[in-house]
Amino acid sequence: MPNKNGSVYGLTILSPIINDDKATPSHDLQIRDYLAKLSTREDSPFAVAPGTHLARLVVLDDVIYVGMPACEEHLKSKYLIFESNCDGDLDGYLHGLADAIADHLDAIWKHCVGYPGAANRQAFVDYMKACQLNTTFYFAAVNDKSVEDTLRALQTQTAVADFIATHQGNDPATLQREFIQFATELRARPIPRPGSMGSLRDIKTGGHNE
Amino acid sequence: MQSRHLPASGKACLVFLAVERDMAALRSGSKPRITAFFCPAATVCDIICSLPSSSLQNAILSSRPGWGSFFPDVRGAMSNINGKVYAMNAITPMKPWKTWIVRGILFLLGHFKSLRQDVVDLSFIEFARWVVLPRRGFPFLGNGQERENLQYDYLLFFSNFNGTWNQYIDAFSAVLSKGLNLIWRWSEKFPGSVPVTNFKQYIALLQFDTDYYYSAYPNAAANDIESAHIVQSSLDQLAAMAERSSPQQFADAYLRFVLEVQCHLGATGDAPVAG
Amino acid sequence: MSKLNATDIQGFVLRGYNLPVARYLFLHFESASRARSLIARLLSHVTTGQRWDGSKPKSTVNIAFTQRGLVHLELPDATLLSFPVEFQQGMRHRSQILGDCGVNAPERWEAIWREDRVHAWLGINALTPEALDARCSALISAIEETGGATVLGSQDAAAVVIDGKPTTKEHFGYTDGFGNPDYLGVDRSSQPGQGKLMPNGSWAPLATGELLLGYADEAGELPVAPVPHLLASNGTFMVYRKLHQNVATFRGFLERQAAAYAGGKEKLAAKFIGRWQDGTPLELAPDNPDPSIAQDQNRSTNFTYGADAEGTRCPIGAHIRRVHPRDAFGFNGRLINRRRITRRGLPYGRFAADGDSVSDTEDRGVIFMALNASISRQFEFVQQQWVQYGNDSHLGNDKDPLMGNHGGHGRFVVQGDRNPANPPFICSHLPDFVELRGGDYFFLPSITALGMIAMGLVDPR
Repeated sequence: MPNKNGSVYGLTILSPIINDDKATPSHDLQIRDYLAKLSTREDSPFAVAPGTHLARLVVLDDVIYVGMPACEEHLKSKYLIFESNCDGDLDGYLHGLADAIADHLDAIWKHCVGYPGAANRQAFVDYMKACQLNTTFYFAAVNDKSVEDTLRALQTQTAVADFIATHQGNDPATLQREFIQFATELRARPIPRPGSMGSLRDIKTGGHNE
Repeated sequence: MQSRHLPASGKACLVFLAVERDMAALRSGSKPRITAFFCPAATVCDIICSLPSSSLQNAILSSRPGWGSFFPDVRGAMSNINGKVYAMNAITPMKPWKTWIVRGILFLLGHFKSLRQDVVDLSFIEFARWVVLPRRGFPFLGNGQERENLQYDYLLFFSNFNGTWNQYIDAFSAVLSKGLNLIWRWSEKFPGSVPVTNFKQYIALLQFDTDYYYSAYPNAAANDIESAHIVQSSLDQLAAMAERSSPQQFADAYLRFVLEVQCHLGATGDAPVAG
Repeated sequence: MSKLNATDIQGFVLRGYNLPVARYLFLHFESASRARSLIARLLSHVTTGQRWDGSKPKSTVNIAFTQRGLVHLELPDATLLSFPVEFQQGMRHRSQILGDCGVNAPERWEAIWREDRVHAWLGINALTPEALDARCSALISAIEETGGATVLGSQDAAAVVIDGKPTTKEHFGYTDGFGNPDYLGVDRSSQPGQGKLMPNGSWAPLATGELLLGYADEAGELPVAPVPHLLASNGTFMVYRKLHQNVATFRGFLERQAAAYAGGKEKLAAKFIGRWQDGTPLELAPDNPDPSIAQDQNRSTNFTYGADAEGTRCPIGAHIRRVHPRDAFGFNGRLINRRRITRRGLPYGRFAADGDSVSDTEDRGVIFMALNASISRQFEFVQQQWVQYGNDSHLGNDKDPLMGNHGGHGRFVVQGDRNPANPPFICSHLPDFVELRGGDYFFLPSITALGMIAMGLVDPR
């Protein structure tokens, strides 16, 4: 099934944007402006709504003219591309978006042709499916872990590295006791919020200046 | 001025800026002040120079929709990248009779794991997809929308990868050129994935920029995630037996655990600055 | 491919001279015409790549320019703009990309490097300090007589001398000088392991264009180069970095960590780099140093990591494994063939043997010079992706233990096995062992190009 790879779903939505000469700024620019101000971190709509690993929104202005001998042609409308890599099935995901972030969905898609609004769930799902493209080939490096699994594993990785580093040379009894305590505490720790960056340090790795 | 019509490569982008500079300023050795500018062709143009010609500065500012201001964190420019992952979008035209060949190739790729092994081994792609968009396949919802009337079918490519743009393309050109050629040779004017400089120019021409990019785990690359799952799995196994073993048994199991995870403990965090 | 014309290429590019003392002069141009007449005068001094039949010269001279230097020589604008972006910006403006922050930040560099005033590098290598002084006087005379430049400063460097003989040791005590690649057409004694890995396991020289502009490179094309072709051909780019070494910090850290490491101090020191202090590669001799390997050219660089995927012999994050991964990334090493650099340079400052008292405030370190056809694709890539970062080796954000800008927070994992003398071990809170004190990017022209520059005859078309 092309859209799916293991337990992850590759959703590709292509929504025609309203073409209205009288709109100032034009609808595509309004979308861009809204997206430019939208957070991409833990307060992103896709962090709030469940199930999104990675997602992007892209305004497609036109097709490319690659040069002679290819022909030059142009699109009659601009399109909004929504590419999402998410958990679960399509209906569940779309309902999840509509439940959690209806305002953002409306603010973005109201500039698109025929968008019914997220309030009418069925109409919303039908609209999205009408705009859905079949993902012909879909690759996922990890295709059997949910967003929560991944966030938990990343938290575990950091904690384990610290534990190993600080318990070198311990005698077996101490090691066992400390480990049991560590594992219990780690299991009870809430998973990090999706979209949140790691903790800040004095020197940031990789060259960002303080 | 749409982003795709700007010069194809990062290098050309610098020339575009610098040619307008006052040559006397160059000769007098005046130091450029530093502000951020990303080449919308999304190549290595992290150029930071102040333009003596303010009219040129204004021309660039007003030409790019969505840019509010000329600061290093301007959203429009940075949004191809989120933490360690880069969102590449590409669209290529194909003569419709060739589309069936591409469909066939992508079908085989999807069904035979061995064909995908090299991509898996490169290990810097989190998610990637090809979408065949036939010329009559653009969604049409009435309500005043004009129907598209196109000659070509289009192939959309979306990639979420780790590393820099140059590194990504260099790697594919170096080790997967045959596979790339197989999929893209059906696109108009594809120059081949080797040699790499022409290939990069072609990609820069047909790449278009992301307006909004979200990742649930931006400070983790594909390798980090794979390692994290290994650590989680090993930890779960150790934790399951920790309570009911003797200290010595536990110490042995712990050593086994450390040996299992010792290659998977790299820290997560910020990505290197694109350059 | 065509045979290299060694008389047109500066000798510094084609071979390490193995002359034990050096002085680097940094020049600043004012008047373009006087600077050009200086270059014309210096042409007779510049050492080419021609083989020395019989005896070595007592001293050698080579010259290179920054972008600002070329601007002040009034090369045509179209030529200046055709140089690569990173070279035009200069190393100081690439600090974010290189991870030159914290203790390595340009604000903390020596004054000469903080102000973009260095226009040319004049490198003099010599057999003896007397020969060095004599040659420098001759050059200074030429500079003064033509009025072509002011000398902003100089940097002395010298091979570490132990028991009266120059060695290839550096200040941390490691034996250096193993890593330089072989290139097609470059006439030097080649060693297995220096070039690129072939599918049958043998080693072949790298394409010439990885080092020299104007020749085919590993990607099957001519490397991107400035125009005109004649200016760039037979030339290369040079990265110059003055790296201060905190020897006291290093020794203290090693001492403290080794107390908890069952393999012992010598082995832990070897795990940092990937070679024992005498140069024996860990990959070939994981338990003890072996001079018979270290001193045998056919063996000292002849190894791969394929059989050591877990890093139990040479840790995955060890320095030499990071900067030259060989086959560690799979694909028969094809991903790394365009990421190689040629290193020149010498230590500077007083050598303190193990046991001598030593302080980090004393001026000592290494003058690091890297030669490559593309600074961004080769040196900068290795520095950014393999030294200050670890994703390609699946090490996340972990940095090179010796070279990384750890700021006290670094971590280095020594992978181990069940052998009690080779346990898994984690070093934490790594400090900065190395600090960048300055440097820049230079263009090292061919002899022909120097002549063109001297006569003002560069035509970009």
